[in-house]
Amino acid sequence: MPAASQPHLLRILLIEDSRSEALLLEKILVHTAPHTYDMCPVQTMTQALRLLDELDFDVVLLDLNLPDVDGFSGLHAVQATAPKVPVIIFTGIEDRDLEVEAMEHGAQDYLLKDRATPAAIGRSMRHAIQRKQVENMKSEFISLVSHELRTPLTSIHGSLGLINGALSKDLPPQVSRLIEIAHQNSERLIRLVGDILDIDKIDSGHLPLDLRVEALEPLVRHAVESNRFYAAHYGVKLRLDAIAPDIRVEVDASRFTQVLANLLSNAAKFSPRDGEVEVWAGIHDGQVRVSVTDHGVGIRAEFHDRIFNKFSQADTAITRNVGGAGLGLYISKQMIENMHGQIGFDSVPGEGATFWIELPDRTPAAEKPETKRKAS
Amino acid sequence: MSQAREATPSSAPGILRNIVCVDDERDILEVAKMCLEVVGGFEVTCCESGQAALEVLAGQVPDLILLDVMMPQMNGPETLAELRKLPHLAAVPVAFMTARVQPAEVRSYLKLGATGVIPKPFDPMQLSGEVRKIWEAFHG
Repeated sequence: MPAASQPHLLRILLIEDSRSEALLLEKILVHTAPHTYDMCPVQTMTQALRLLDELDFDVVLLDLNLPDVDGFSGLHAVQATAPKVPVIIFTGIEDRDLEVEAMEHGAQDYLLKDRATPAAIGRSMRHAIQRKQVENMKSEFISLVSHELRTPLTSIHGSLGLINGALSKDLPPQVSRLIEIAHQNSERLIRLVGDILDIDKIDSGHLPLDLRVEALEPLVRHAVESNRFYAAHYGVKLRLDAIAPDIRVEVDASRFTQVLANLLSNAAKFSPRDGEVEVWAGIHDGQVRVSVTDHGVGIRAEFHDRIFNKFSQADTAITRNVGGAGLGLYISKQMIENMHGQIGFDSVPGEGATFWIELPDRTPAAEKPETKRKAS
Repeated sequence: MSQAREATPSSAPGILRNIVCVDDERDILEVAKMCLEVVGGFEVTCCESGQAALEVLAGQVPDLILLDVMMPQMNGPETLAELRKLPHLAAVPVAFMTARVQPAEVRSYLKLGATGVIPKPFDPMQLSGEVRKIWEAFHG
């Protein structure tokens, strides 16, 4: 917060590999408004991150063309190091798609170098700071609320789960059924709180992922085993085909399992009673692929474009009432893309749907299974 | 409320029986205690603050300590730091039980010397198993 009596210098971190461009900008800003800005120019992301770690800045101006980072990974690194500081992409590239993408990755503004008059830069920085302040308030609010919700939920879910799991056998059937319903809904509420936190992180551009090379088989098996009970609730069986044990992927294990759980629970929800959901994992066209197939109603064509959007659920025209806020697939897509993978689906309405994830193959070359190729 | 066993120098890790659970939310303490006793068959001593835990643990050696992170006055990490100054607790694993489980937060707990982290809301039927895994990892 600026002190009331002292004029507040706007502390700018300029990350720009061209020394002449940096000097030019410094000259423009300092000349037009001598006691307004305090600019600190650096030429590499390494230097920038060190300074962001040590000092406070009001705004970051980031060139996309740096020697030590590619594309938006520099933006992500800045966001991870200083999550509360607004970032303006400062670039010579006029490209509308790139601009939209930068904003989607959580940049506050996109400024073209050759249009950057002192007034335009000043305005952009003021707006970026304001916008970031509102975003920070929103994130803090969501974080506070979700923590406050989780505290009573821990007691509620713990109590209901313990009765349901270990203490319900002597209860009248109606009571034990009501406990079961309350327990399932407390789980649903817990998932919803988690989803809302995830959405906020995705929208502010810094979903922290812990990427490591992991064996695929145990991750998929774990996800399937943990969701059998949920599927059984819908009278649905999960069938897991054998997975080659040497396949490796580079993922955040808990987030990857979360995405699989999402696909599995969706498949169970949309399956007919006594249906079966098939899970396949292996190498497909040089990529690691995991697919989840159900034999439910499928996805109507008009819903195809929106299915991975936020708050999207095919409307209630589906015969069965299906719960959920429509956040799961949106979160899954963002997570898988942040793991350098892709997510998609194939569906024939009336015959079911196959949702798939594809990730780069990280299997050590010597161990690549030559024979395990999928035909289709 | 059951008591953790008296301070006795034990050479072998033995079995997991006595657990001290520290949380400022009385309801969570009560539910966690019941889960650990009913499902796991453990004996659980509850403490409503870091300070209370230090008093209880001054003369006792439980087999494992479960610590909440966000508590008024003395928070979980501060409590852990104090516990680590007590030589008779050097061979007792400490796990955090918390709703704050961002990867960076989990890393910081492990760096402080925690053996494991149990996310809240915990699964009441799995809690005992998770606690046992942490205990086994410590003695493994």
